[in-house]
Order: sequence, then structure tokens, then C-alpha cells
Amino acid sequence: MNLLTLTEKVSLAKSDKHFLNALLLDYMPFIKKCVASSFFKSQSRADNLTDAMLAFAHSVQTYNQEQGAFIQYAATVIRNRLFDSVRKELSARKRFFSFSTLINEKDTTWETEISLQAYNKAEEEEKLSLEIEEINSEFAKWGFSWAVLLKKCPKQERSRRIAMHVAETVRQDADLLADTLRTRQLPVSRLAALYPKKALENYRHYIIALIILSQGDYPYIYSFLPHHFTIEEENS
Amino acid sequence: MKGVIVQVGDPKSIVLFNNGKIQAIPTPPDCHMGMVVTVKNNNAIKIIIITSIAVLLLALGIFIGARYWGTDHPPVEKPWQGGHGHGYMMERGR
Repeated sequence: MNLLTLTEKVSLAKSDKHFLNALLLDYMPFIKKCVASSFFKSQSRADNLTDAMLAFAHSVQTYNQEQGAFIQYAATVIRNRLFDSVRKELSARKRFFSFSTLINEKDTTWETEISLQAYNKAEEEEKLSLEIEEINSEFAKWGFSWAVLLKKCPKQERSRRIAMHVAETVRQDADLLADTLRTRQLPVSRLAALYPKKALENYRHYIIALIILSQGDYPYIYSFLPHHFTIEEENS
Repeated sequence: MKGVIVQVGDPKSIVLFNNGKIQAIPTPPDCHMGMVVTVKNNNAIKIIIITSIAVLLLALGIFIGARYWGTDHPPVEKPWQGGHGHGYMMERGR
């Protein structure tokens, strides 16, 4: 994939979910930078990142070469999406104010056009819905459902972080991942050397769900998984 | 906190939130699978509880203060018990 130009990657990602997910992962620093540059104190950074990832996925779907460089296009779509969500929130609080001072007047018309073209809520929700249906059938193969996950999901943030680290460890190790996918069971004995056995036993379903969701088949749902900012990104 | 509805139910639907939590929330109107929802934490109860505790502690502090330090306690005068004090030595000298 590295030999392809960005435009080629984007056109491939339009039809291939794995390419789209890979592109999302590759451009995560860029997405986080966009979030950091248009971050409003009233907003949650995690919410902004989810919005930005969804906007990036949309910009891949709606991009054509005539619109110039993809990065510039994606940055505009992400920025407009974040502004839209701030506008919505402020209007909900009855404290709407104009962003005319924040946006260059010359670019406004062009950017609004791109934003409208790129952001289609119904289409986005339809894609999410299709992915959830696929996830449901995948979960059924593993013998659990969202209702089970609801009961097994760690309540504490610290426990969720441990579960995420476990999922990441499995995902990074090709052998562990292949074993997990083949046997459809978490290799608890091998992971017990690194993580507390009790956590592995208790959050087994949740960890497996994280592995399934972050494998690359569900780029839209992937936007709803936690992606933490590093300290440098927080300060930028 | 943003999330996506992964299972619609009545009266509650299951939501995957972007902090990794999977939670059941009351089903919103026009709810469908894939619907993006934003849930705001309601801090009103927290604020009320914290304020009540603060007020109670303050009242307790005022009560204790008034009970032990607020009233005027005159120094207690005890009758002379005798012993090897100044008076005894003076008596012996005489």
C-alpha cells in the first residue's frame, strides 16, 4: 500500500473497507492535528475526534481529483464538521454566535459547499447500520451479543484501559491474533504473563469485541472506539 | 459523550460510547440502529449532593464552635489545698 500515491489510496478506499481503515490509521496524527487546531473548550476532545474520523471517512467517499489535493479537502471537511457540531451545540443552548470572525470570508462559500456535499447524516447512519448488522453476525459466530457485552463491559475507566491494552497486544502480535481468530477464544494462558488473569477472565467478551471492531472491517464503528491523545497532542 | 445505537430496544437501547463504555439508555424518539447520539452528563444531582454536604459540614462546624469556644467560661477558683508551697515554708519559719 505504501507504493501507491495518496490519490490512488483514496480511490481504493472508496470501495474497500480495509483500505479505508488503513487510511484512517495512517492519517490519525493528521486527524488529531485537525481536532487540536479547531478545538473549542465547550466541546469534548473525544467527541471531536469521533466527528473528525467520521468526516475523514466521508471525505474519502466524496473526494474527486478535480477538488484539488485530498489532504486540503479532508482538512476542510473535518474543520467544517467540527464547526457544525459546535454550532449545533450552541444553538441547542440558545447561545448561537456567528463564526464569521473565525473563518476567512473568501473561503466560506466554497467550504460550506464542500461541507454540505460531504456531510450527509442519513448516509452516514446507514453505513453505521450496515456495519452493525455485520458485527452482529460476527459476534454471533463468537457466541455473544451486545446484550452480553452490556453486562460484561468494565464499569471503571481503568479496567477499560486494561482491556484496550490487552486487545492492542493481541492485535499487534500476529501469532496471538491468528490463534485467537482460529480458536475463537482469547489465549488467556499466554496473556496471563502480561496482564492480571482475573481481568482477562472477567472482560474476555469485551476484549474480543475490541479485537473484532479494530481489525479493519468496520471503519465507521472504529470511529467510536476510544483513541487517546498523547500529551504532545493535548498541548498542540 | 457521543455514541452509536447498536441495539434498539424498549424501553432501553444499547449504545456504544466513544469512551469504550457499552450502556443502556432510554430509547430516544425515532430511534434506529446506527443512530448517533450525544449524551450529556447531568451534574445537577452531583452539585446538589456536594452542596448539601458542604452546608451540613459548615453547620456542624458552627455548632461545635459555639458549643465549646463561643461561650464564656470563667476561670475556676479552687480552695487552697495546703502542701509544700510558699505558705507552708513561711509558717515553718515563724
